[in-house]
Amino acid sequence: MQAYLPDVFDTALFGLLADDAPEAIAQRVAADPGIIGKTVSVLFPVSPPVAELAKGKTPKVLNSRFTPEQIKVFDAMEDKGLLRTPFNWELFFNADSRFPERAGLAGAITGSFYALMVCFLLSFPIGIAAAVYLEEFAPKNRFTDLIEVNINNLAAVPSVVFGLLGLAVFLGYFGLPRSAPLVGGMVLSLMTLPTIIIATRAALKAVPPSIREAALGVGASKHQVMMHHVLPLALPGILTGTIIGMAQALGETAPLLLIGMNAFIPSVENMGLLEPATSLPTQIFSWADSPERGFVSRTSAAILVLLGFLVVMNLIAITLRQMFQRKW
Amino acid sequence: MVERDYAMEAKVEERPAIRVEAPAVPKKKEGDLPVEQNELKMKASDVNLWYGEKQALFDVNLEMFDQSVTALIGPSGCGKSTFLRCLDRMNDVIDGVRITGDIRLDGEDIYAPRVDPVQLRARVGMVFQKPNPFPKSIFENVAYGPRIHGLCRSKAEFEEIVERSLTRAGLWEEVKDRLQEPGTGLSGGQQQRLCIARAISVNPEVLLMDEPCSALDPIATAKIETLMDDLKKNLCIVIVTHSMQQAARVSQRTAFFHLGKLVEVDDTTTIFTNPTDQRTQDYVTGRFG
Ligand SMILES: Nc1ncnc2c1ncn2[C@@H]1O[C@H](COP(=O)(O)OP(=O)(O)O)[C@@H](O)[C@H]1O
Ligand SMILES: [Mg+2]
Repeated sequence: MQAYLPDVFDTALFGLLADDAPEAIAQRVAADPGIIGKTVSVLFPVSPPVAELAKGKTPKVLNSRFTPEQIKVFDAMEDKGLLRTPFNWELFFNADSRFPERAGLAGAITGSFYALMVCFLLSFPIGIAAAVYLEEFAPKNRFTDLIEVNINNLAAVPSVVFGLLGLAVFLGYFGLPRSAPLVGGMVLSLMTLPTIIIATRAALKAVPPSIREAALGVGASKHQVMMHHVLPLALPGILTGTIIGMAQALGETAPLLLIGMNAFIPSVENMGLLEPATSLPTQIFSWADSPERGFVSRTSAAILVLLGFLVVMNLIAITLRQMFQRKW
Repeated sequence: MVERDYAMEAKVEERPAIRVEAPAVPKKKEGDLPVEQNELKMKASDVNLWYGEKQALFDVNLEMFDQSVTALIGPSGCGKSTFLRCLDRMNDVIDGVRITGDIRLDGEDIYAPRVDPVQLRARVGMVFQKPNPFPKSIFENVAYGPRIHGLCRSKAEFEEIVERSLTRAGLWEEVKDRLQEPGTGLSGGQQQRLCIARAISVNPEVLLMDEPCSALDPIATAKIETLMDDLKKNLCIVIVTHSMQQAARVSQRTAFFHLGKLVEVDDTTTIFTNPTDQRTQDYVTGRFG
């Protein structure tokens, strides 16, 4: 770098690079000791103000963040084509960081994945079992009517209420660890359960009675009718509902904030079901709240990633629905 | 497919019954004994049935004999299906149904507490108005009953029972090369015969048919009627039908229902030529219904 830009002071140069550029050099040297003493080209992340300069977002003249020498260096680098704005894959492979140029979503994605997994493992079997019971086996009386009304209402309860409930019950009463994906998933499953139950009941209702009669007619028990015929036919509808419920859960922020699932996770190594974690939406929330300018673009990127996941999930749901549409 | 249908049509022409549409008087075939000499298979005594508050059957008494076809006729909503469904306890699954009286299969009360309706339905098969094959392969449709009742162990046994049932249902030749195709892809008449094959795959003693031809064209109907003639050789068949011609063609005994009551039951010939009750007379001559 000195060779490229001989007329520059060290300090002016390093001011342009990201705060952790020295660490990056150290890592590079440690990884490949052979490069000591040679001249190699290395790409460094630049500091956020420089990034903005490079993208032409802030004016060059009268910019109080930079000394005139730094502007000179910047121009020189730009002339020689030394500045690049490549896609920063660290967005996916790094965990969170204080430095926006180093911060990534790996921690958030892992946390969301764990929480969704817990949510799925809880709400899918319980939801289906509840729906099957209510739809096929429950006696029709005051009590089951009450349960029905409640389930329909639960689907409309604001998520922050579920968050508080989780905080009070799971953390307060049962003493489960704060910020853990386990608790996050449990709270999210409270929200997805009504969705799954309602979707499953609709799917069960849509199975034509003639199929049930046919199975009963050859001597299948109620249980066999359910397991062999009705559930398999209802499965596409159930899966669609489940995926849509999961997509909602993925985007849910408030309940996770309330149980503290917005921890600062600088490395994905120690993540587990019971360890503190963060999630995609809460990561977006934290980044959007950060004062550093560099987090603005990180936030936008994270939002795009989240939306991308949601679009993919919904596409799967739609495809499933169309693939299995009415085959009787 | 299409060619086969024409082939069947030619066969149908040999059946005089299908051409005679109005005054349908069944001919006694040679060798037909009066069915009362057959063994009594099912007997319903004083059957009353309520859907919630509404009574749908009033004191129905009916005997159904082995190796014969009993037809239930009557205007819509008179309780024919309801009565038929009592015979294999299919009404059990409807909420709010209450039944009194006594229905016996081989002298055994089918509503006795120790009778398992699931086992009963293996002995009393049912074919429904609308063909309702499972959305599975043809093979699986027929093999399902034997499988859940544990009738077969090996693949060969399944194949044998599937072939035998499909043959008895007159469908084997048409589907033997595509057993793995979905049963829902067959034509309406073929689907209904598939349902018959499914019903007889578990060797029932009684076969209940609720307007099995009402959704079918005349050719498919004729095939099923021929089939019933064959099946009744070792089955007791009870059929609900809307068509008096059909009752006349296929049945040996006919029961006339009206407003939930069994008005008259007798030999089919008698019902159609010389009924006792005025209402029966009016109905079979087409004055109402
Ligand atoms: N599941 C049911 N719940 C209430 N009423 C019913 C039900 N099924 C049939 N019914 C009533 O019982 C009467 C007899 O019906 P059904 O046996 O289907 O007549 P059919 O088969 O002779 O046309 C009708 O009045 C009908 O409305
Ligand atoms: Mg009917």
